[in-house]
Amino acid sequence: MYRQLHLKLISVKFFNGRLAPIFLGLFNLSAQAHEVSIQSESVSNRGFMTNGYWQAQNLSTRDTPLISYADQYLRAQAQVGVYGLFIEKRATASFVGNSNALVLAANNNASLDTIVQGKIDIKAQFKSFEFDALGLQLSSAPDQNIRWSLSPKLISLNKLTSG
Amino acid sequence: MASYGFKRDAYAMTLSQGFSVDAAIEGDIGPSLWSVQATNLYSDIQAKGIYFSNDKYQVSKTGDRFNFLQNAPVTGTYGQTDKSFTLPQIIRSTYQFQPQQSRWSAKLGGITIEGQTIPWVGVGYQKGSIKLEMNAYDLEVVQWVLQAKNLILPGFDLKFSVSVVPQGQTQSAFTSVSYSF
Repeated sequence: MYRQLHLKLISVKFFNGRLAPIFLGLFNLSAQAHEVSIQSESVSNRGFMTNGYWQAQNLSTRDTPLISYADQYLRAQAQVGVYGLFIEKRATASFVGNSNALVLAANNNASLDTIVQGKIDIKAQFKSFEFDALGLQLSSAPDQNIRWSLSPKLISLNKLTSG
Repeated sequence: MASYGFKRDAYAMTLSQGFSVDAAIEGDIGPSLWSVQATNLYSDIQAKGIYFSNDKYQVSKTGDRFNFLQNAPVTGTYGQTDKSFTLPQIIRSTYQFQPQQSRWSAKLGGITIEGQTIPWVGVGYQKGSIKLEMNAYDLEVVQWVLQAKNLILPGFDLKFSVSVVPQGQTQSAFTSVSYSF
């Protein structure tokens, strides 16, 4: 469900913001590698995060964990000296619970055709955030045996759902 | 003595600024590659709602019942307060084994989301700049990933995936597009 909500295209409005002139200036200052990327990653251990899928599923007395996340972002990174400076527009959502919560949500709590004998557990921990960020990437040299990177970023929140 | 009560003049919740830290580490041991990537390893975002007042009220408890010794200001909006949020923490751990000069590779790992882990295994086949992977999450959802590097022009990479569930239904998506220059 939340995947449908968040799969809307990431707006290019981001580049009209105050950060854009500074960032695009840095693109010109540096002669090193830059990257522009769009990512839309979604993983679930059961089914798909869509209304249609869960509408067709039944309530269950088995407490099978359901874990999933969706992470979509538009990101531009410029290499300035040894640092990577990046801006991104991101939507991240996670769901940790069981399938019954999604079956009920997808059916809008309407009466279900399924007759279930026994106790039905409903568990759901849901987080959904949309934000703009400005960050710095610190990383080791690429030719090391062990490589690392650390990316602190400042966030301006646009939307959240948590529950 | 406990402090209870709410401001009467409720105002809309405002979204504000915060910070987050992503981190990644990887290493090579012969033909093996291991990596741990953490998205939102640590984060904190403040959202302002409605404040608790500083008025003091004496409250006593008798069994399950709370007794206010003064009248509390019951007007206003209840249930709101300042809140600190954390972004979803996603940690991907991967171990990959690829014999030298082999096009085949094997992977296993786990994706930990908010403390719960999805185990997964996968195999990959690479020929030139094209790589095909099959990953099975919790041995339930199978995801096929086609990755092409330097497609059309140098630095332009594309990743496309198709997920399949045991009932046979599929879902496809462009997983990533990136251009390095």
